Formats: sequence, structure tokens, C-alpha cells
Amino acid sequence: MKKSHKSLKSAVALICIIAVTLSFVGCSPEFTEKTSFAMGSVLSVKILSDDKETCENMYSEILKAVNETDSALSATKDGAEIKMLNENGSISASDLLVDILQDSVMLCNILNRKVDITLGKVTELWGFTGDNMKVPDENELAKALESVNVEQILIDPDNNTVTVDNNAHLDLGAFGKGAACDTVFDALKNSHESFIMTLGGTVFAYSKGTKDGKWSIGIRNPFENENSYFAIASLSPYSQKNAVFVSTSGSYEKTFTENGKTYHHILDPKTGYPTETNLVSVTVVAESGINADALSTFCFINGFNEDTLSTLNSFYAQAVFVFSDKSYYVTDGLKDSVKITDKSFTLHEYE
Amino acid sequence: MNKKTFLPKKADLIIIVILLIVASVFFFMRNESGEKTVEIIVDGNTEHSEIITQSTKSHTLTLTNGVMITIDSDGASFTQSDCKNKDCIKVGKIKNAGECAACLPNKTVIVIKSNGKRLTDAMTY
Repeated sequence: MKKSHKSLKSAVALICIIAVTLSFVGCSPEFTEKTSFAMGSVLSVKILSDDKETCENMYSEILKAVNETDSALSATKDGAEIKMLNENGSISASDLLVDILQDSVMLCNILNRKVDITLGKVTELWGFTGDNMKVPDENELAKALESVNVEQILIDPDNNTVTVDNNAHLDLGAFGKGAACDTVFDALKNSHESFIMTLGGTVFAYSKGTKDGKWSIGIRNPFENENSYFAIASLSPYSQKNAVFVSTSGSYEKTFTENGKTYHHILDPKTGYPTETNLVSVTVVAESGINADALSTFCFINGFNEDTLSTLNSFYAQAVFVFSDKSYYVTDGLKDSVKITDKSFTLHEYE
Repeated sequence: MNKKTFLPKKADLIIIVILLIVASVFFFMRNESGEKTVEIIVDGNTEHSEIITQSTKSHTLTLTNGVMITIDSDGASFTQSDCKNKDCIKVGKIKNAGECAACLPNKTVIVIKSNGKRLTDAMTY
């Protein structure tokens, strides 16, 4: 009888422990959110911590890293290194700019120059760097195209100098936000708090400590307004970095209509004109921000084909392609992770 | 040897049930209240924050930068801005937690926040 009473007491104690644990689960940290502007875009940060001081410190670090990247890469901001490089042809560069340019040049070459950061003069003619978007004069465009060649960038990492030949202008629009996410990663890679940040559509999620499970990322519905998504990707971080990066290139961003024709901002470096494709958006999941950004642009320009799919594979990256007929294709590595929430989308036929 | 089965006493059962109810209330209160807050941020600083409910009447705010935003029981939208392309107005009304609308030239953003459960942590676009 005594033994039975002990068992009962143990059972009650066990249930108490479960109940208290359940209460604590309910009291696990909530996201602390902060929204601001950086790199000409909305910067949204969510940190999984209730501690105000920790969140403030982390947010300051994030903002600092993003602004440092902007000061290196902006082609329009006064005092920014790329702006000075475009004006003078040669500069003494920061370590950050040297690192990003080395990665960018390597990416442009690996991606067969389907993406080229010396497209600056062409982008300027279209007005995509400012507010005045227009179809450029054909002759001017042809002349600007002559300056497009990533081989003209000469980087001296020992002396931290960068020189650009042939009066080419650099435009890191296709790499910048991803590069900023990488700078944030470098600053916070030892953080004990998990966080997720969105910088103008490029997402960086970092998991540590209290965050377990997956991150749910909505993928924009290209046929609706910017808050609509058609699919949700449940993403685990790449284990070696505890981080995952997501970037989308879509023909719905930065558009203008002239003489009844709508033009988008994803320019083909071979023609200087907006890429003509049956794609409307490509979302890429990769292990670095710059890879995610560069690959989403590359996939859009190179189109949906075997070459694009094998390139993604070589970067251990995955992608979701959306076509103009409202069909979609999800690469094999993401098939179990992407849930289509808008049933009006159909699976793209691919042989 | 006779095996005896022992049932918990009535008092034990009551304690167990009470504990489970209390824990569940904590759990659900924390996660599912679902109250919506409209937050208006100008250049990184929160200029206005307002909880919206069924009884919130439609009203329009004029911000220090001249941008006008209308808030009602359902959500919020940009209604006037001096920006060139009026992209912020074209977004229309945002209603759900996590949604945002931005006027980049005026560095103004409207965010809907909620402590209720969300389907997504972030959005790529």
C-alpha cells in the first residue's frame, strides 16, 4: 500500500513537471520586431528575445553592418566607394569593398557573365538607379554596352586598390542586399539569439539557442500586390553556418510603361534590354546572401533550363521558378519544404 | 503474488486537472490573443502606434512629412503622398499581421503587428 502511494505521488509530481514545462513553453521568448530604412529599402528585423537591451544591441549591429555595406556599394550615395570609383576610375578601397568585389567578379565569371557588375552605364541610361526611368536611345545604349566586361575590374588586395578600365561603371544592384546580409552574418555569427531580417526582399535567417524548427518564408505572388504570397517555404538553416539566405528576382519590381509597353529592371548584359523570358520570378535559397542574390538574377536571365538547374546544384542552392502562365517549378531539394497556398497556381510541365 | 491496482484519490485528480488547466491558459493566452496594432514608422522612428479593434472608426493621420495614412477597424493604407510613382498608395490597404506598405522616398512604412500566431516569419519579394 505504501508503495502504491509512492507511485501515485510520483505520478502527480511528473504531471506537475509537465504542467510547469507547458507553462514555460507558453512563456518562451517572443520576437522583438523593428522596422527601418537602409540601402533604399525597408529593413525589417525580428529577434527571438524578450530582453530589450540584447535586442537593441543586436539591432544596432545589424543596422551598422547594412549601412557599412551601403557606404561601400552605393552608386548614388555621396561618399560611397562605388560612386567614387565610377567618378574617378580608381580608388583606395576598404577591406569590405575588396572582399565583396572579389566575390562578385568570381560570381560573374562562374555565371558566364549572364550577370555582370560593369553594367552601370546601361542601368544609368534606363534610369533604374534613380527616379527617371525611360527607354534609352539605341546608339547611346550600344555605346554603353561596349563598357560592359567584368574583366576590366582590377583589384589589388595587397594594396587595397580598385581600378576600372574603359571608363566602365559598376552597378552592384544585383548583389548588394545579399552582400549586406553576409556582412550582418559576419558581425553576428556568434550570436546566442536567433533572428530573421528582410532587406528589400532578400531574407537572412539565423538560428541559434532558443529557436528550433524551421523558418517559414512567404514567396511573393507575382500576380498580386506585394503583401500576397502564393507559397510558403519551410526552411532549415544550412548546418555549417546556422543560417539560410533567400532572394527573389521578379519582373514586377521597378517597372515603367512607355508607348504601351512595360519594361522591367532585370537587364540582360548581352543586349542591354530587359530580359525577355517566360519567367516572372525566381526565388533562390542559398548558403550566402551574395550567392542567393546573384543566382536569382542569373536564373531569371539564363531562363529555366538544364544549365540553370545544374548551376544551382553546383552552388548547393535551390529555387522556385514562377512562369507567366501562373505555373511554378520547385527544384528537388525544396519539394518537401514548399507548400503552395494559392491553388490557382499549377505545376509547370517539364520533361 | 496478488497484483493490486490503485486509483488516485479524488483530491489528486482535482489537483492534476487544475494544474493542466492553469498551464494551458498560460500557453494559449501567450500565443493566441491576436490583437492587431498599426505602427507607422518614419525614418526608423515610430511616429504612431494604434491598436485597432472592431469599433475603430476610419480616420486619417497627417504625418510630419506630409504623408497621409488612413486607419480603420480592418487595417491601414497610404492615402496621400508627394512621391513620384505613388507606389505606396497602389499597395492599398494592409490588413494582416506581418504585412507592410512603404513609401521609400518619404522613408515611411506602415506595419501591422500582432501577437497572434502567424503563418510566415518573413516574406521574399
